[in-house]
Amino acid sequence: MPHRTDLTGCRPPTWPWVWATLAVLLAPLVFDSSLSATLLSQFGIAVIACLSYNLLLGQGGMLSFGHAVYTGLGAYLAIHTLGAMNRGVLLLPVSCIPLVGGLAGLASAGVLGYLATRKSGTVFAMITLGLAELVAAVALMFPAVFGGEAGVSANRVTGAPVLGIDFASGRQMAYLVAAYTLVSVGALYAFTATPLGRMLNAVRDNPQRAAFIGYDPQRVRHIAFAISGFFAGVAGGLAALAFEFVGPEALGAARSGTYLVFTVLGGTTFFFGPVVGAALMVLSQALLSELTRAWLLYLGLAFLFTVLLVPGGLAGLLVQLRRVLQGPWPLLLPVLPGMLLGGLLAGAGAAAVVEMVYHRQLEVALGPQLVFLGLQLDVTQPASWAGAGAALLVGLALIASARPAALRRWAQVRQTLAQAGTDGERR
Amino acid sequence: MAPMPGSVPALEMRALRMRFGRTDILRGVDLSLAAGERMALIGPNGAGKSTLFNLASGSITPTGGAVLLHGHRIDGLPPFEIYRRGLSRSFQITSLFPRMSVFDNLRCGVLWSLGYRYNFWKLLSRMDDANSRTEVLLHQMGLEPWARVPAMQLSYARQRALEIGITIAGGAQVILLDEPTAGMSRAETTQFIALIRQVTAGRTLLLVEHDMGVVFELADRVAVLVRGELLAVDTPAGVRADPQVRQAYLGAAYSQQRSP
Amino acid sequence: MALALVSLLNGLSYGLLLFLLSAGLTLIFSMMGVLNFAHAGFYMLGAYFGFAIAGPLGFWPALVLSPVLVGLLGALFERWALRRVHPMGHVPELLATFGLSILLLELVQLVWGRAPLDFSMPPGLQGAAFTLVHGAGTGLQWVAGNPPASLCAGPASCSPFPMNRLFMGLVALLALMALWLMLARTRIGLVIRAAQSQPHMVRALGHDLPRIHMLVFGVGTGLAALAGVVGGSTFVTEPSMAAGVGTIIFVVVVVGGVGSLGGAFLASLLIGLLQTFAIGFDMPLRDLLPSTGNVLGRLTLSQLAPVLPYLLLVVMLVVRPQGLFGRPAP
Repeated sequence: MPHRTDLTGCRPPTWPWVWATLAVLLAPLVFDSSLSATLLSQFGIAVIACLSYNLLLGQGGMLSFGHAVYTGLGAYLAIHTLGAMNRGVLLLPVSCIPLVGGLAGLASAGVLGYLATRKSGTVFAMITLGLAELVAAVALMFPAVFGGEAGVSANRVTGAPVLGIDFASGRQMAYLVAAYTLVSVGALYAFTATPLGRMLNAVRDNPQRAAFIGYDPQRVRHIAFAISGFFAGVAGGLAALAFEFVGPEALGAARSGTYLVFTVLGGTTFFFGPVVGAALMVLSQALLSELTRAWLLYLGLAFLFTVLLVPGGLAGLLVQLRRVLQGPWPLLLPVLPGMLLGGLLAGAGAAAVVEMVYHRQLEVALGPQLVFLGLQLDVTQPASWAGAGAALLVGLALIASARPAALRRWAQVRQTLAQAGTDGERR
Repeated sequence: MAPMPGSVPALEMRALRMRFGRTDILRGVDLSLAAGERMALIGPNGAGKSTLFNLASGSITPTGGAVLLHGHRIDGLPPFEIYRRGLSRSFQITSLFPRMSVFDNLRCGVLWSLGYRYNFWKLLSRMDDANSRTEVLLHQMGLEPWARVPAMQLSYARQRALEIGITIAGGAQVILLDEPTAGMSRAETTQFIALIRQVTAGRTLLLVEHDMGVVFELADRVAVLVRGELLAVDTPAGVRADPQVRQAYLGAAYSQQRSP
Repeated sequence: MALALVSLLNGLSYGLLLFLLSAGLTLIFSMMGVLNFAHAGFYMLGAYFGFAIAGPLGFWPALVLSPVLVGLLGALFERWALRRVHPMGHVPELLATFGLSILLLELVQLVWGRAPLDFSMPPGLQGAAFTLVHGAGTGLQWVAGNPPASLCAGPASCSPFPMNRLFMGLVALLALMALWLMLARTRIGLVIRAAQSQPHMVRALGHDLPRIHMLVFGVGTGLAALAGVVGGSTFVTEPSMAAGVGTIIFVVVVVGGVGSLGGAFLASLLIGLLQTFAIGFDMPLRDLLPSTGNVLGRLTLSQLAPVLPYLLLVVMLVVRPQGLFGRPAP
């Protein structure tokens, strides 16, 4: 039975798209605080950016360390266009600004991509790294264009309102983002089912064979790079509109790293993996950074964990979870308490230690006490440290004792699943 | 069935030389295949057969001499250019797109010849010509029951069949098969020979083989390559009878084969 | 003149530091095909470990112990993490080392905070090693240590060459000679060199290839840590020190050539000199190349300096990816 994410020759089922469309259309109405509108806009922008990134990484096997160059250049061209409209020099519908960003992304990816895609693998990654640093450094040399450290601003409320829409409110902006997101997701999904999309997968898996059936692997990669750049530019253009500001960090290595980390965390082997990654991105930047100073550390750990042990990312985990719940989950029942409890205890213990160390390092002024998971901890009291340490050790011990049985049962589960059918991975 | 004088050979090698560092792998090979001819290339290990294939299909550039396809030089061209001019090859070590389904593997093979190029605005599911051609290929290769199975999950023999399928998918007129029956059992080999004969009907075929049974079943002519030089090019019977060839190569192998 | 000479020496000593860093990186890359994205992180770790050990035990034990400890950690990472992703291909390997680089940065900030640390060499290695005094009318004079203030007054100019930089250069030279000796003269070095080009053969001969990989990774990261101890105590020890050298050492490895220690040596010196000299020059580009237009010509060499290595990187990768001295990939 072809799985729903398998596009070989069969029509994709429409129900998930209908629900998604409804959800996207209704979300700004339901969540109507300005914070929610901002978050939704950020989510939509991140979805487009991460999907465009995964076109390279997941579908093309191209690890780029400089994706922010294309989102950033798109953002800069968009904000300058908006500025020109503010001054009355240009006349364009505001809703077309993201397309201007897309053009910038397309052009720059077309040029720079020509250089980068002449090579593949590690050399390609290094070229993208060099190009990213180059562009970021060059941007600082021309403050007239890039605004230097202070960045460039513009006003998205400009010109006559169209059909009463002037984008003054965050909600209208969120709707614009939603529209672009839907169209982009649809386009990128369709791309995977086109000759170029399929050959991109082919070039990823066996470039030699792809050449021997008539395709120039370099050309395939180059065109894909340009397409990815277009959508990246659209995301950048939307960001320029949403925040009415573009600064040098838009082109920076940290931004590129963010796209990389969250796309991988979301899952590169599934089409909707980057969507999950985008959600994680927005949530961690908005919420997690508020909750704990150590969020980058946790992120780094999660990333490394994903790369080493869970190549399918969170999306992969969710798909597996769904399949396990549909079938052999009773097999895991005996070992679940031990592993779960052990995991939670060890995790909580380790996190408590980390939080206490961070607190000591960075928040000395706030006094020695902090609240962790509802508990009052004191960095000066040995009891707090001992408690955290004990939780960690007990948790690890529980995991260690439950592990052999858990591994056996997991092997059984995987066997059952393998017999039931093939994986639903986006090829 | 050597090329008739005056007609353009489908595939021709003239004074082909290949040197790696200070080692001569091929020392001036002259070979000519007429359109529709089936030739087997045999020889001991290290004779240069793979190198010859790689030169003809564009993986490497010769250090001397020329390769001509339908009379036009193709040596030094990249593989995709040579494929587009009508020469396709298979690999000794199966080279597929492991994560794609069998159907997709074959469909990728037909895309270029149907003119779709780097198209990213048409959906594959709507391309009736590509899909029907793929269905035909599936049927020809006997792979219909496994159409949706990822290629890496196929058995070895079926993977070899898929390998051939991808090779012929684009309709190339000159086909190079590199040890197509390598690793197969007797029964599988017999079936496979029939399959190869069927799907390459009317096309020019050059195949490398170690299995003499396959050679004598399929080939119109046999070329014997020893230490980078052609020792003989003749009908199977002629090559079998050639004393030089017997001495250099066929001797031991011949005594192990049952005479047909 | 004196300034130029001292700048030259500064550039050379910085180049030597870069070489110490990139030697390990190029060794790991040519041996295992892994571009260790976290290499600069091990540099940083070496500096921080050096600081931590120098506190209670002193600088000299730190100089020895820090590289050993970091090398051990590197070997463990290879054993538990890299080995696991190796069969998955190059991209997961790169991602793993990239993830490690993030982790190292965060862990260092966790333990030691975000402010720069006061990590410096012992007093004996502070101050000027020698000073070049350009006296009015007396020409160039070489004075050991710091000259008396009277010599530098008035029209005369004094250009001191710092002792810690001299020490840094010496340590780098010694370490690299030791590395060269190990690779060229010892049995294990022979095995390592053989495994670079023919890993399967080496394995077939009975050598434990995974263990060799672990050793190479440990040595490589240990060298980075040694660079960190001397570099951190000469320049600055802070979390951003990793980012400061991170991309530069990739440039060195790429320009010098994969697998070529000699190439990396030359490239390090070249780039060390380039960076040191370019930063010191405030001349606008227009003065150097009169034909450059107004916009570009207004930029000074010191503004362009950060861009030059990346430009070199991209050009080299596109035009000649095997670098100046590497062998082209088969």
